[in-house]
Amino acid sequence: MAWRSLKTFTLVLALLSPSAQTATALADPPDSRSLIAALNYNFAKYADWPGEEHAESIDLCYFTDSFKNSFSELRDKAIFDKPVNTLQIRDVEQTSRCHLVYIDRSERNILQRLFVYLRDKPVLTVSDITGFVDDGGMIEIVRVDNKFRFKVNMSRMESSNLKMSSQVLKLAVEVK
Amino acid sequence: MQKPDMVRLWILGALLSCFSTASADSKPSSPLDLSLQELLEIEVTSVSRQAESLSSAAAAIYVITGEEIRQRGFQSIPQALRDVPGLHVAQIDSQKWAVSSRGFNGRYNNKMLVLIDGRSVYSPEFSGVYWEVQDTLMADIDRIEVIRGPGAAIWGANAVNGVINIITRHSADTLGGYAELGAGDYQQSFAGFRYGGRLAPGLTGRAYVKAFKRDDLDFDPVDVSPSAAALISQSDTDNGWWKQQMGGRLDMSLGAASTLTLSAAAYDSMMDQTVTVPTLTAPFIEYPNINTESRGWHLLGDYSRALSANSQLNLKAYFDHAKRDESFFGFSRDTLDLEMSHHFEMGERHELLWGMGYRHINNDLDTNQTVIDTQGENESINLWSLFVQDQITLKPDTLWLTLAARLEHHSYTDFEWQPTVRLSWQPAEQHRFWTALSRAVRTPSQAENEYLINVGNLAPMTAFNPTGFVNRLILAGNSDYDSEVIQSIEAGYRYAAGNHFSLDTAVFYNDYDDLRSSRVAETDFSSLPAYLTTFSAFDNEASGHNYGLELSANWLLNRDLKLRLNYSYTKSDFSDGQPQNTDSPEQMVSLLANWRISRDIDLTASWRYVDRSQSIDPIQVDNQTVDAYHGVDLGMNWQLTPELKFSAFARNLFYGSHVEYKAELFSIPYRVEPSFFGKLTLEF
Repeated sequence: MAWRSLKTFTLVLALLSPSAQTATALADPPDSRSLIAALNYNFAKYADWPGEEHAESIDLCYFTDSFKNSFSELRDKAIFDKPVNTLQIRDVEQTSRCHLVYIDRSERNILQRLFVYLRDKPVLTVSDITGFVDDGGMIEIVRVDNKFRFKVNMSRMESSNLKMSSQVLKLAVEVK
Repeated sequence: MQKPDMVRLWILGALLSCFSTASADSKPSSPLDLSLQELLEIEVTSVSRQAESLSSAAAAIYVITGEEIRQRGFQSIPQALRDVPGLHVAQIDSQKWAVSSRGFNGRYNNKMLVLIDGRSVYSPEFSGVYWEVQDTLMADIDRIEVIRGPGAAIWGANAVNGVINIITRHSADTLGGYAELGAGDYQQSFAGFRYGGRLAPGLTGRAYVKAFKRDDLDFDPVDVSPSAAALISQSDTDNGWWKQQMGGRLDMSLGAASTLTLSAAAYDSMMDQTVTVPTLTAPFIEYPNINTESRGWHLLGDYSRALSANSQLNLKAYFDHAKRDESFFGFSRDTLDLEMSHHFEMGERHELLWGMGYRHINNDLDTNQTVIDTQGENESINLWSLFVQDQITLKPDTLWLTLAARLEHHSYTDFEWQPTVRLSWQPAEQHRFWTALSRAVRTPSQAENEYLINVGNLAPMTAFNPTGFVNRLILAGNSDYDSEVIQSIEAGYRYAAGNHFSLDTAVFYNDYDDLRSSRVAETDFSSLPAYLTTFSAFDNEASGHNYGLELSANWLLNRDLKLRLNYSYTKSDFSDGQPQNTDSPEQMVSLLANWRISRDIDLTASWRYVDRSQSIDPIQVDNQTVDAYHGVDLGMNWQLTPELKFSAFARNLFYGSHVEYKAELFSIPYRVEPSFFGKLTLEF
């Protein structure tokens, strides 16, 4: 419990701390895939997994080669006191090793197998596939007016014993 | 014990958070340094600036993305295929195209399979594709995958030299409204409208309508013999056309494990064309300008169910109706196709795919025609198939072996066996090698099996007809005519250097056997003295081989400029006098550039060179040749507002007017020339 409340506290502090920084101050406009990797990193930061405090690392997984570069940028990151580990996976059965799995648009055809396999397993599923949260996914990244937004399927997360900080839920365009 | 720890951690946490706030004051260089709130404020400028990753397929594959189709303003599927390495794409007249992979081009190229969302559009009459009626709203195409080389083990017979898979977007990816409107000289006018929406949770759909009118291409008398030119000058050479089409698609999730896709479309097209028709009186040929109507519709259902983490079942069914009325030829065809496939993993090393299919084709030939008639032995074709593929991981992430085979039973030829063995090796992340050995067949068309085609009439007392009577030449289908066979060996290499350079090459050697040949079968004197009739029948006595190399190189010069070079070299060695086109243009080159000038404007340019090509002339001994040509296409897209885009395109520049292809039967050559059009696109 102590570990969890500490993690929450630090994260909330970071989230609430005033930042003079605006996004446009980035030296170089980022690639959409780097943005998606950064979003995944943030979702992982504010999520709570059962037994997370005993994990050696936080494992973030993705499927296709096209996200290899953007996810590998997360490698020297940490989430509170756990190093982030990124992992490219080839098939659905490997997803049980992950804390979070990102499924990009080109992998729409594996969704049904993924949902069947991950049913109630504590793996946070994130995707930019339209309709992802309606079909049984947890976080869907959407584009509104050329900016990324996200939807959360809270009941799906709860049935898998996952928690998400209310600070994140406040930023979601839809929570169901 | 716990308390002091807690305090220490709290302090540490507070310090950490202060530190992270402080560090945010320096300029972050990566989105990873931004908070979630800040990330949501960033404008997503481009889709991606990374070069595409290497394909892992152990086959020569090239993908045209939907983004490229929209950016380059392709208004039809053949246009989108133009610069693909290994493909020879040539326009015959305003409507007709000849598209082939690795040789054998023609209006009726029979060695390439084309599928739209898994529905075969290969027509059995002449074996080939009526490209002019294969269409959809181009903006709704997700990608076109072009696989060169035999793909018959998985895709079925006739995938001898290639398979083209046209895949439309999922309806969840086409929500909202889309409208396009354009005009130009060749593309006289076109309009398209689509609306997509979410009908219920887990149920999305879209519907579209489109219509266009395209202008005639010009006929130039210098492209035919003086005697033909004199005759054609008495006729119209109109070849303009219009087409309208509507369709839609529904995608639904049936619980967590299953999905169902339903799609449908219907079209109607009216085309002018000048055809060659043999006559019994001098000059024994005429060139009437006729009006041709083509209509069709289809319904397709695709059901998929996850049985477990690594096992998935697919059921697909479609019904397709196509009708064509030309004054010398007409048919009405119904196709029913059913397929099931099951994809699963067995242990750590085996990824299996197996399935079976049944296709029934019922074709009514309009027999009131003088040029093409039928002996009427077979009206329907039944095709049964069984296929299995095992992809074996010999060494994880490094070495894969694929074994696949397909067994088919066709009404005309009984059993056909089409196996392939493929090996793929990735010694390092940036290098990938593959090689394949395959056998595939091209099953007989209805024309080869049962039609009677009056290809020409020979005047009396001439070199080829020393008799004193008109000699009607009839190509007669032969029910003993068998499948053509290819045995092919291919190899390829792909290389990627970081994000900015990639290379994809393939070499092949194809050995063809039992190719179509023809022999004089009998002469019928019963109609003398009006005429005598010489029947030629099809046989499988011809053979040959071809080999070649294809290359595609991509450079990302900087984040706004992308270059691509596509090249193909094909050497053909076939015996003379074969009754089908065999040779490919020896060399073809395309250089493509995409340049994003500003946030709202991008430019595209392509230059292509196509070597000399040849095609048969059914009543002449010598082949017809088309000279080499080159040309430039330019395009500009300007996003005026977030919803409205203006685009302008120019095609076939800097080479004047020229013939791209001379069709092998029934048509006269037309000239392709520079053309221009503008287009407005609204998304809401």
